[in-house]
Amino acid sequence: MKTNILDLIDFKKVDSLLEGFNKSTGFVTAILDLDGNVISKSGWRMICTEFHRIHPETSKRCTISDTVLANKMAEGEKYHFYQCLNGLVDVAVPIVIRGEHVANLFSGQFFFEAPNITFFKKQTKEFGFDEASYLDVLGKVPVVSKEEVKVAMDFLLEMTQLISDLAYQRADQEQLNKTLREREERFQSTLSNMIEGCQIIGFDWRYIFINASAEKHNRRPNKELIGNRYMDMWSGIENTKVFNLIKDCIDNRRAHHFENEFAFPGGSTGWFDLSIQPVPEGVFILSIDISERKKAEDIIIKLNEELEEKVKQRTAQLEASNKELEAFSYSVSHDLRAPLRHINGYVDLLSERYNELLPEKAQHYLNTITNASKQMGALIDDLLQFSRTGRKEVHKEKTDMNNLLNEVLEAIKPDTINRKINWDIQSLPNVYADYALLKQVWINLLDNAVKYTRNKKTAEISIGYYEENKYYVFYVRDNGVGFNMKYAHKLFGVFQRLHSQTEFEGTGIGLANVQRIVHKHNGQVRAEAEPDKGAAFYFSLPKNKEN
Amino acid sequence: MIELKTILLVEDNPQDVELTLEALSEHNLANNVIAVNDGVEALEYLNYEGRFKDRKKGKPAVMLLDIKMPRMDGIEVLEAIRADERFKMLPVVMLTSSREEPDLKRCYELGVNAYVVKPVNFSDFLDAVKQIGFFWAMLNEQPQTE
Repeated sequence: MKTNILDLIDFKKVDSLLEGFNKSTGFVTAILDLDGNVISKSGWRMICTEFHRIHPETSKRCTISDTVLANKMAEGEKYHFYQCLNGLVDVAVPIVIRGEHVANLFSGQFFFEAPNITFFKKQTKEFGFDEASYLDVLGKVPVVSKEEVKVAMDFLLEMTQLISDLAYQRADQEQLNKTLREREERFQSTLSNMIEGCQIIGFDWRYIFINASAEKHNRRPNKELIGNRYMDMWSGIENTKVFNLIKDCIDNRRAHHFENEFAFPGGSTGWFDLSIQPVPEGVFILSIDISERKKAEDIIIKLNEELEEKVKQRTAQLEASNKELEAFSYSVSHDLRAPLRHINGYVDLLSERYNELLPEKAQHYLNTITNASKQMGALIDDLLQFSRTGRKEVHKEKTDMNNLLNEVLEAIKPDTINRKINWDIQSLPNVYADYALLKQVWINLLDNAVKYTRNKKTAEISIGYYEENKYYVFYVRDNGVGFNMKYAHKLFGVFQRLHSQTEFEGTGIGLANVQRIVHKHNGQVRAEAEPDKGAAFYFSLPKNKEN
Repeated sequence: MIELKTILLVEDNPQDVELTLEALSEHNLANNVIAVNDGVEALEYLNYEGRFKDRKKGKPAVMLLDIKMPRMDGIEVLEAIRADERFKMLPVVMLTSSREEPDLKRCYELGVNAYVVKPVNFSDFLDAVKQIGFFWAMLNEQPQTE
């Protein structure tokens, strides 16, 4: 909104100024706004006030003169002298304040030369003025030089401008005050409505300001606190961290940010995030209630602790059961084998030393006992190895598969004596694997291939690999008895066999062991077969070390 | 005839003792065998204590040591005698059913001379025991001490 400068000018002062000016210099003045309204005037000539501006006809002329002058001003003229229609000289100067033409200063009602008496006598007759008194006031109209008028006008102009400048300054000041007041209000309302608690404590430790949130945080009404000293309000506070940090802020003007748990006089407690900042009045304390968060954190910490405790317990249980298992397999290894050995031993002694005394049937019984105990020995050994494999940690290393395969072929050689076997062996890639464990895989698979082809005149066993995504897939294929795929799912289970003991001896642990080892290498096993056509066993190993 | 050396057999199982003696008798070594029931008795023998208070002086040529025994097991015996200056160099052969890796490792760490797993098959067992007896009691030489 544009301020009207004229509203700001104290015209009482201007009036008395113009009055004084008139008295000391004899100049009459008037200030008219741009619409021609007289705002201020002083010492007007009686010829004007008592004659010209009274009689309707001459008054009309006055108005015309005023308007002519005002228009000249509006056109931007600085000084304009004008002989009014009633015969006097008028002068006008524009009042321009800060570049804006706001009003006009008029003077006049004087003559530059001695008046033309004839003209005025004529006026007396024309408008019916009392000649004696008209000529008397005419005589009081001064005759001045143009120079004098100019100096006077300049003086008045500057004076007016000075007054208006003051007015402007006052306006500026008012605007400034208003802005300040608005800002202050905005600031206050912001502080008051903040979710965060805001408090200001003075250098004398007295509460200066507490907003609504801080009032909630304090858990006591502001009126109890405002004006009182912090340490008088909270007994025992002087021995706390908060007090020390506020003190540091008061004394050393240092800011602090921390989390603190308060114990309130009523016995309740609460966690707060506090920022303590030096401000001109003392310290500003920003507080955020984090009690809920802390509660949640506590719960999380507690849960974590419980979880850790549980994990510990479970781990201990697992370790204990692992130990038990170890002790168990140790016992099996030791104690189960001993009686077997004894059975074997005594049966051997019996059949050797008392051979002639035993009937054939008895010999047969002894053989059966021997075979049974051998089978049991094999079962125990395989089972122990299976359990060892389960417990064993996998130590992966770069493994030369061809080398390993050759070792295995060498190891199973005794079983291939008197057999005709066509081996078709592909060169294999290196892998990352546990050498000893992988060796067991190959031994089991090749043992099986040799065993289940023994009824063929010529056994065909091929060993090779192919690549499948991130894996190498190795296989052993034979032309042996094979099996019905219906039972394939049983193949890798412990003690699962697809052939009878009389057909093909075995413990049913070998392939379970193979699967366990391959899984430990993050690989997979599978088998394909057809009865009497042969079988193929596949196992995959990751190409990359990381897997 | 050369003087027969003693074999100390530490074995809690009477069948194992009997079968071991059967095997050793094939080399006529059975008469030189002293069989004790557990680790405690083994140490009593070595230290002339208990029922061995008055035995003839001398160290065995070899100690055949089972692992799993009551009171004091084979590994504890091995540990005790290897810590004893007098028996540090006594030949000890573990003769056990356990093929467990930790046992093997522990025994070798304690300085065992040999570790033999008793074969389940009796003829293999016979062979093994005969060879052990023959080697340690007849072929092997030890430094003369004491």
